[in-house]
Amino acid sequence: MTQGKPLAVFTGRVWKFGDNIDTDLITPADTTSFGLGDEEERRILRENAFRSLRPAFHTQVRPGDILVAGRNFGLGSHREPANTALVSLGFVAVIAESVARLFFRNSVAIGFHALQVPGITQMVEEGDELQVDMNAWTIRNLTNGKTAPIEPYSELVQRIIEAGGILRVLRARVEADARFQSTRRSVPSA
Amino acid sequence: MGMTIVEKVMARASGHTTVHPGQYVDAKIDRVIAHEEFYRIHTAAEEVGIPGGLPDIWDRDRFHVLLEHFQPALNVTQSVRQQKMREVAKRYGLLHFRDALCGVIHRVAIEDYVLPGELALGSDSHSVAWGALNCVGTGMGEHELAYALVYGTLWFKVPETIRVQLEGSWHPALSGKDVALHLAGLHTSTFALYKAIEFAGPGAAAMPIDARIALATHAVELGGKFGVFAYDDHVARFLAARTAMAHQRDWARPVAPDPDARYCQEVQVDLGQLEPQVAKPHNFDNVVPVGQVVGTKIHQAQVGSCANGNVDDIATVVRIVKGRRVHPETRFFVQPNSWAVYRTCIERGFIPDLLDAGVQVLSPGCHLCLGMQGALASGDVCITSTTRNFRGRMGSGEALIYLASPATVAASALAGAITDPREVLR
Repeated sequence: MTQGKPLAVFTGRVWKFGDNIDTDLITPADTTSFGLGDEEERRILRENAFRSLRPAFHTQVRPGDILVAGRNFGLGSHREPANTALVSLGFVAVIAESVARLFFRNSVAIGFHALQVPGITQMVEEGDELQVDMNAWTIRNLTNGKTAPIEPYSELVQRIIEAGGILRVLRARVEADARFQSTRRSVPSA
Repeated sequence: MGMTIVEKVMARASGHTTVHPGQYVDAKIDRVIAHEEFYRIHTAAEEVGIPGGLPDIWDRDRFHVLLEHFQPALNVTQSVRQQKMREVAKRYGLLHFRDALCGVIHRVAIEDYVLPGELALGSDSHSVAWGALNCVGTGMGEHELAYALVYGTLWFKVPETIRVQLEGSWHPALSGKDVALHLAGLHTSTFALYKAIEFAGPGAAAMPIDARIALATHAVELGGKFGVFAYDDHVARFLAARTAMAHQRDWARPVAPDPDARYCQEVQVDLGQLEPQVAKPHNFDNVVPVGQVVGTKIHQAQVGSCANGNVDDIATVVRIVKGRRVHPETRFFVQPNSWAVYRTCIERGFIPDLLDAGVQVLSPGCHLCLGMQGALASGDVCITSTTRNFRGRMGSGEALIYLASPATVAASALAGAITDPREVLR
């Protein structure tokens, strides 16, 4: 599930979680054990996301909300459904004290913001309105006025995110690659 | 300036003479090994608008697909997915597609595929396990693997390396699990976040391959991107016994760190002083010495997984349970992590000993670790040598999972409560 190009400045309502939110908490193994990647699997992932911590969470999150968490968000499995489930729930970004390696890479790969803001859990409460400015690499808590810097992406990561994920980068490369011209059929637009 | 093992491999793979931590490189991939996520690799490429999925695979001799995670399939959805993958594998003309007698991807990769000095990617977080053979391996998601498979390259940020110096000698009652849990207890699960770990010192040199597998596998539970051992006689002997992929054997490029390599952190562990370690629910770094949880009643005990379903792990279980009986109110499952391991267990007579003791031996796979078999009910307490004790990992979010070595699990299964294995092994 590759996303479109993310917004550079956006505002969202905060849901706040603690440290070590692992991929089994986000998407329990029995919901992500190699389904067919179809609408049915997406429904199961969405409806069971965070079920041990917040039952029926999918009925509470609104499109545009922001997930704030403590350290090591997304530790554990390689499972991309943990990333895509957040997108399905409606989240536009995760902002954490720190983000686990695979979760971060998978987020970049699908064009979803997983941002590191040391100190975020001290300056945000659940329900606060948060403004994220990806041009200035800052966040502003519109509820209490506090601000903090975002750890900037590297240039390469920024390019992948702006392309809408690594498979958009791949598609562009394949489309420009003479080796694949003869076999290529018409390409649907993004 | 000297380089660590990972820096050397990154430099070689990206065509640089030297690299430094923090540097972004486009690295040539030596090998990709995928399990059932191969399906998502294919569908992700289709969904983004590349007709037919991956237009090509950069090197079919360096790509392996295994239908291993849920073999045999546990439900129709998994069956259908496997069926589709067989079709896609044919269409892509895969050279190395394995559909039966797999076992856990990481064990099979170590038995048959990965080589020292390679930069290898797996579709699973525990691909760091391959560091046991001096292979620089790590897990990637399906989107990134789709990219890597077409062009054979992927971006990396060269990580800093932590050196974990293991002192003292190895003894068979220990598991790589105890070492990993000890490190997590001291340094937390962000110990090596975005970093590589090199396991070194006389203790590391003395560790058999099976013990190295458990420790390297858990590099990811320590937050790490890689977890690598040096190449030595243990690795050489292990590879000399390999019969699969004989045409690739001289592709191995063992890598040693430079004497003046720079590490961002160095920590020491004295194996001689190491007590059996237990992680309490619900995190890998919630660790105590076994003495602090002795007597905790358990309902289920498990030995298996990429980390601890190896021959030496099951040999340890047999040493403990042979001639004894599993506690009547405890169910004890042992799941070898490959069919080669299973065969060795049969040849060494382990299976009858396990059955006589009341242990249920399962066919190789990842089932136990994910609660696909032996799912836990609310209120169940499980002690396991699988990889993770996250809340809800093995069924109900109201079950409690303790992680420990095969020795601690086996001793606990006999008593029906968490037990110090040194009491039984004495």
